[in-house]
Amino acid sequence: MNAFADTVVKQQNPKQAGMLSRLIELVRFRDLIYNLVLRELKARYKNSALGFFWSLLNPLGMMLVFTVVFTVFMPNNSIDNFPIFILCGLLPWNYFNAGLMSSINSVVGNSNLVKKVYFPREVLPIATVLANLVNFLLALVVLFAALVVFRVSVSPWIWLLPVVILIQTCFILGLAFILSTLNVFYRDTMMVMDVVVLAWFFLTPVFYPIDIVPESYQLLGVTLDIHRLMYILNPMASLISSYRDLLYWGYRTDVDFFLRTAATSVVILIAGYWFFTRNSGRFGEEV
Amino acid sequence: MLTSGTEEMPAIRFRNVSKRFLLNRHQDRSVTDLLLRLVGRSRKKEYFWPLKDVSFDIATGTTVGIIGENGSGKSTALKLMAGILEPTTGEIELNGRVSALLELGAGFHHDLTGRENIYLAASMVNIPRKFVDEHLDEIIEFADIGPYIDMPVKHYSSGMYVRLGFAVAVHVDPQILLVDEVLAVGDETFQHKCLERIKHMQNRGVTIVLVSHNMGQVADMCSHAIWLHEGQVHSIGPVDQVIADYMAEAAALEQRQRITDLSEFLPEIVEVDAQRYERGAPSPDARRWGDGRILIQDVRLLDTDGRTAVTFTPDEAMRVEFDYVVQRSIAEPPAFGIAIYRLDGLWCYGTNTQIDGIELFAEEPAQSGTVVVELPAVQLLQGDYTLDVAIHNADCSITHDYIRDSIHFNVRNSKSDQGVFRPQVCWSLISNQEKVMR
Repeated sequence: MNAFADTVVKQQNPKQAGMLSRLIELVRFRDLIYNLVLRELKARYKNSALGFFWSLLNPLGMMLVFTVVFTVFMPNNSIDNFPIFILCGLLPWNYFNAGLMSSINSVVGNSNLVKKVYFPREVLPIATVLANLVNFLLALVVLFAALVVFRVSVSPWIWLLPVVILIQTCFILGLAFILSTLNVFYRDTMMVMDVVVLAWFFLTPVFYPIDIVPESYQLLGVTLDIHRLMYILNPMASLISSYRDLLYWGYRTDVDFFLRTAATSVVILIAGYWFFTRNSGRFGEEV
Repeated sequence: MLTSGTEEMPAIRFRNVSKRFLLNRHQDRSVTDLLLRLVGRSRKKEYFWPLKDVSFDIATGTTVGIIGENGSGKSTALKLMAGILEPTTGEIELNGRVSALLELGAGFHHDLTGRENIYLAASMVNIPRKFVDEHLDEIIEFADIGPYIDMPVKHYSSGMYVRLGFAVAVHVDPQILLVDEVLAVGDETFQHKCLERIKHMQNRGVTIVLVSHNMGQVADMCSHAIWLHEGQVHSIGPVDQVIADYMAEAAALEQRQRITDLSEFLPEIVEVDAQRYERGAPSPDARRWGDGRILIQDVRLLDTDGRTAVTFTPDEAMRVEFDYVVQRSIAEPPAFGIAIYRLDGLWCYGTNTQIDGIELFAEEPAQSGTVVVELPAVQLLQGDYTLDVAIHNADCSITHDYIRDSIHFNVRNSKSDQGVFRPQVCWSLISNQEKVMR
């Protein structure tokens, strides 16, 4: 019974506990993260007849809807292999959307736990995002099947795909930390984000290629480079174009572009984690 | 078990711990307020301090009860120990793995089976999967819920839920166990099992902190107690002493409260004669009546040591005191009376100075004074009782002041005899054989 009977000394002053010790504490709770991810996945599929096949059927259905809308209703677009094109944008977007929206509520929605059990609170958004990551990986299976069906040749740079996924996960996690904290103090966060994410969807080239956006725009006499702005201000646009480069265009993707997105994501992750840990001590009384 | 070298270190140490809550939190946390704050106009904040500058040490391996009335900060203290809340100021040090029984089965997910939930709940207190694997059978056996262990917990009865929750909490090998009132759940067999398990943990040197309103349980299980009062440590020490002080204080408080209540009811002036000690009340729910010429000011119930008390044993002496003040001149010396009712309405006893043939006043009655009634032994058996006190004229034809239910008290049996009262009983045997022999 002494196997893990390490003596724990907790100095419970949030201002003293640095981020590094918080990280070590977090690693000690990796079993909990694993169990929570399992819990979310099991709970999600337990009551549906088709179970986890929904992870595959859902992207297929969406692909079908978008393909019908954009090839039958608006036949004058000139994108080859539209189903592949749309899947390459839609799947990462869905991961972003679902990961973000479900993690916003991850702390407040688990108030029974937060009020009754001690554990590092950051496991809640982490587990939610990771559960969505698992879903995304399952959905990628559909994409690869589609690549085979439509005989699209995959770029030799496909090994970069896990790195892109990692970058996106960092980005989502960072935002999830910030938004789930805000949601504890201001429940309006959820409502606001509903609208923001919808706008974000249209501002991101998910179902249209970036080429259809005008190159530049005159605003108050200043010429704005719309393409550049879109990529700089919107990491999701950069991420989705990376996915497309690798999977659809068979291009190695641009290095500067890639590094900038990675840097943005890591900065957001660190800032988000810092913000979360600074405030998580008060979650027990606020939720 | 703690490693050597930590033996002098207390399991739990509170150093000047204070906790502050924002009272109007929800009003404060709105976007409107955020905007107001941005323009520098903040609403006034109201704070509440459930704990104020609390310091104590809980030695490793002891079982300590935290007692106090509602809102005294007990649960807040426990949540601080569990790490769910963080102190506003001060420091808390915990040495050892903590398992908190704040709510049984708090970590369970409704859609998962009992077995899956065991793993989930264990990982919440940072127990490795391997350890759970090894102890799974033990946990399942303790919970004793049969085949339900593989069903989603949403189909569980509340009893089964609690059993499983308890089983996990006590099997994760804590070094510090925090318990909040949860032992009052489940059927008696299971409660017994829980207590056995806790005794076992005590023997193994686990530090246990128990928050409870059940003084019997605290006295039974704990060696020491901490009495919190309005967020501060009122006293700390051996359990019997702290509980005795607490009970006496609680009794005194309750009696003061009753008297305060009482002074709001001035006697209803009635012309009708209150016939002796039949409840000659003007209305069935009247609490006080009489012509008000003499008023009862305060009623006290004391034990042999002259301390305020509410709980007596049948053999114990009881002393009733009540103060009177003459409001308007009276023609003759008054008669004083008491009556005891059981809470279910049974009239147990009633008497007055006239019945007992007592003349309290040798001369002109003083304008005010205290009447003392002494009972060498209560003689009533287990139950809750109320006391009526009254002042009448000399022949009890006029009621000056009658207070119904002036004070509550209870009797706890020292042995298990049955009924309403305990007369003096002597047993002996006259054997038939002896008669024949004679």
